[in-house]
Amino acid sequence: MTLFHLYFLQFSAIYIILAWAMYLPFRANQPYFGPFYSMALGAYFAAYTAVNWGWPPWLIIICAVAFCVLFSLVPAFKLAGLGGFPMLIATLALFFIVLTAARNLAMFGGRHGLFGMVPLSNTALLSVTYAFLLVVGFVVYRLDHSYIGRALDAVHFDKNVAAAMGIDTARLSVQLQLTASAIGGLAGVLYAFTFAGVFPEAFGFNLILYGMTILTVGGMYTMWGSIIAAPILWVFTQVLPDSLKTFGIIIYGALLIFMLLARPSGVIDRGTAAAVSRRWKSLFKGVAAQQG
Amino acid sequence: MSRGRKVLIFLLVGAFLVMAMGGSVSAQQKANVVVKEWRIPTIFFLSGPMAGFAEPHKWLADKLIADINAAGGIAGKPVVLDYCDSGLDPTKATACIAKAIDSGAVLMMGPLNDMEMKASMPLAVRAGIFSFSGTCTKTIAEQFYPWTIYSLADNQVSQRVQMELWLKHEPDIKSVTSIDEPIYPMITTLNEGYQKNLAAKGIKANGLVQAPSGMVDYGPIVVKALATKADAYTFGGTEGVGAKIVKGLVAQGIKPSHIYVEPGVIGPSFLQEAKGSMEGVYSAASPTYALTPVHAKYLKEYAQSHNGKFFVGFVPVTYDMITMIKQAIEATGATGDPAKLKEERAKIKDFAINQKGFKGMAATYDVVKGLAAHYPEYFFQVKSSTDVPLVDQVNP
Amino acid sequence: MEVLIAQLIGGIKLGSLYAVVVIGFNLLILVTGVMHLGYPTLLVLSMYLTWVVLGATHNSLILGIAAAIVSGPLIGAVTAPLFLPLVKRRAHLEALVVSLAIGIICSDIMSHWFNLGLPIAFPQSLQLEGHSINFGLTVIRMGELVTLAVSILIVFLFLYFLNRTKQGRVLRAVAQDTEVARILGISVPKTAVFSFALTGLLGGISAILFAMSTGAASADLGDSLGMKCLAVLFLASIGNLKGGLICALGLGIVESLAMTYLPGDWTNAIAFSVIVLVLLFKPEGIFGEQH
Repeated sequence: MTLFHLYFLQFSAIYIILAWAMYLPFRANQPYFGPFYSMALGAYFAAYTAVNWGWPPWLIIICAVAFCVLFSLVPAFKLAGLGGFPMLIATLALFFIVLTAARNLAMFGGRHGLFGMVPLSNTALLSVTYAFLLVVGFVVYRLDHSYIGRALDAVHFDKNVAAAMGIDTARLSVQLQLTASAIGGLAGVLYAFTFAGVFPEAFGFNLILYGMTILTVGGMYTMWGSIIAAPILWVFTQVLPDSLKTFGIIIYGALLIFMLLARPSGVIDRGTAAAVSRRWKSLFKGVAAQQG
Repeated sequence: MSRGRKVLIFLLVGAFLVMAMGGSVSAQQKANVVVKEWRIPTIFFLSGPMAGFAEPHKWLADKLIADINAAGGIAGKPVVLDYCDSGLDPTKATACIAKAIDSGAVLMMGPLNDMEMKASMPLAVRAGIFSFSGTCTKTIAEQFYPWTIYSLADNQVSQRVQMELWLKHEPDIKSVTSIDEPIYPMITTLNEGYQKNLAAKGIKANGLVQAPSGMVDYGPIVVKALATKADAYTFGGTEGVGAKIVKGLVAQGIKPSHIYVEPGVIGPSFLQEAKGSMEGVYSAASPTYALTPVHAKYLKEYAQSHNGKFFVGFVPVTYDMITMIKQAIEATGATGDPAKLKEERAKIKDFAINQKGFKGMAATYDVVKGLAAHYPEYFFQVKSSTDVPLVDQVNP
Repeated sequence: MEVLIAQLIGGIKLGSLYAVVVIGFNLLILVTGVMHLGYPTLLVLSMYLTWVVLGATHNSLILGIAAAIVSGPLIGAVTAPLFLPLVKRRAHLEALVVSLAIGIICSDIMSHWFNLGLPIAFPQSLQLEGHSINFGLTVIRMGELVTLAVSILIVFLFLYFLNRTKQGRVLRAVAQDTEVARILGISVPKTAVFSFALTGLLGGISAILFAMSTGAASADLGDSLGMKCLAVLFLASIGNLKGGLICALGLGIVESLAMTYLPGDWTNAIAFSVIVLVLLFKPEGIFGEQH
């Protein structure tokens, strides 16, 4: 495997995890940007504990995720009552506050950042990342196909009706925020290990744009679209011909607008996912019948 | 889990593995190819909000390569710059360096800025490939020593010499406040150094006033600085903020010659934005003044092709890097043979980090442990938006 | 004391810039439900187009101002069709993402094809340089005074327009209830396009005011502006124009004082912290429910 492929796989996985973190609250019409500041918190936590205290990776991951959950718990109940644009603005503001703190506190290396994490071997890095990708995917899948998934659908379509039918929408919102933050924190830890360090510029507005684009283009209402959108959107500016490279961001933005207008449910919507699932089932029913 | 789903997961994982295997096959194929030309991975941010900053670097790089190829190339082989657009994105900068390493190149050029260096250089260090960056700050060059190079004046020397030159030309300065836009730690260190060296000369040093980046208006910062009652000011940060601060200070009666800006501030946008206020401001850089004949040649060509515009003071570093690359390959006898890659990369690194009497575009200097040494200290004064001439010089 | 007074005046100058932009945001959200995150960048694009016209006409102020006033509604009208299908199906989140994308595209265009990506500077004649009021540490340039006066005037003119004109009533009707407005014979799509064009006009006027006040612009100016103006919007409560003016001026003063008494980079964190606290504890805004 070439190094480029390694990093392609690595960053694709991290962005998929980040997109899944956003997916859960967005499914319930909650534009919660907590995964972004959790990603920054997770990355800084990982770098700080690795560089200053020499913690092993497994301990870093557990504690970073716990830290992100606790941090997100503080505003969670109030945010649960907001919803919509106020939630978006509040969580975006928290993102900028976290970055300002990271940039200005000497213990986090200030503007320079924190370096000196012992890098994982390529095999270990990829294995750990993909193991967590599968774990997070499994968790999101199970949530999607459970009572919580049905509650999310109900809240998405009509919050008031959902509440009338007995769904505790506030509690659900808090659960979504904490889950999203935990997943975002995990993405941050993996990000820090990929760079063997952390620096404030790694978490700019571009990150939000990427996350939103992957989720929107891939499909906001299923988890499967992010798997396709993340690697394609990340790599496509790299494979553009030289003459088009300077237009990369314009093409990116135009693609985003096109998808939102022409196919707002994303590349993979519920219908597509269900159709593929039925096709697979029928294919293997046929194979099983033949073998039987 | 149903069988169909298991198969779906298996196929998805398989698709990733096939892509990975495909990559390793092509790497294998590359190793068997004889190098017929020098393909130099060049990591510039060609897109994104700072693309305008990289454009003159690319222009100069392309011009130089054309001139080098016209003169026979490097060690008899033509040179091609393999641009990789990092887009000011840390993940893409890392991917670009990964590509550079995969390509089997003996060296690479760029990234152009600290953020991308921080993201991607750990990879370059592990792979043992030298990055002819040059435009990174000294802090970054020290962090990734010996795998990159800092090719501008030594800040510790600059802090002292520049203040001495300023006081020599403006002996009526009694007290100084430094306004600091802390975009890099180096900027703050420079400003602190100015204060320290001024205090050592008996000038009242009032300390630093911080100016945050990204504000719409800097009036409050100017007021804060003026409240220190200094009669002179230094500024370190970006061109745009520098222009606003200078305009604000001059509007309040501060003489432009009592303002010194660090070299990164003096650029084409500062010269446009601060017109009417900047005439008389001092700095260690000039985008308009040609320090050598080759500098004059390329400044003129750039102005002809860009509607009379100048390139920022750091662009000559690209000339230096490409010249060093040529010298490094020829001096070490590198062949590009994949079988000797590690050895040739190490030789190039050893050549690059210690050089004597390197003739750059803006100065002749040594390189000691990856850092430029004995770099001349130039002292310029703004006369107009098209004229920032040299008024003094010290050769340390 | 001198410093405090200077900073208060500086804060008011800064806040007046935010106020004008907030009106545009308010209008679009009220009528179409679109939170146009790209609006500040489109404003900056108007500034760039003004700069081009000034350069081509030897700094003719009349033509430069005309360029801003014409380009604003034009940009608004051209981008409106991208939002209308989303507005129709009440896809507000998707509309927000489209607005982000438009902002990013415009920012990239300005970075590549205007002035070699370098920031632009406006002629001193536009800033009315040479005419200023100086007292103590305070300097108020004529351009800044005009900006403050025009900002306040625009707020009241806009209130008059909304409350006392037929078209204003139409906008309020659509903002209140699109279905009833449709039943009453109001063309909702036409009203939506009109609101985009009107927002564009406000953007064009804001562009001129920014040019007069700050004298320069860069491709990323919209980013720093957008977040702060959104903050003012929510602080005041959406749709509250007078509240928006007060909160804009207030935020300008808070920023100005934070820049004075706190280390530089924490200024932004203070502003964002205020936003978070208000949203968490008074989500309807300081001035109550939206109008």
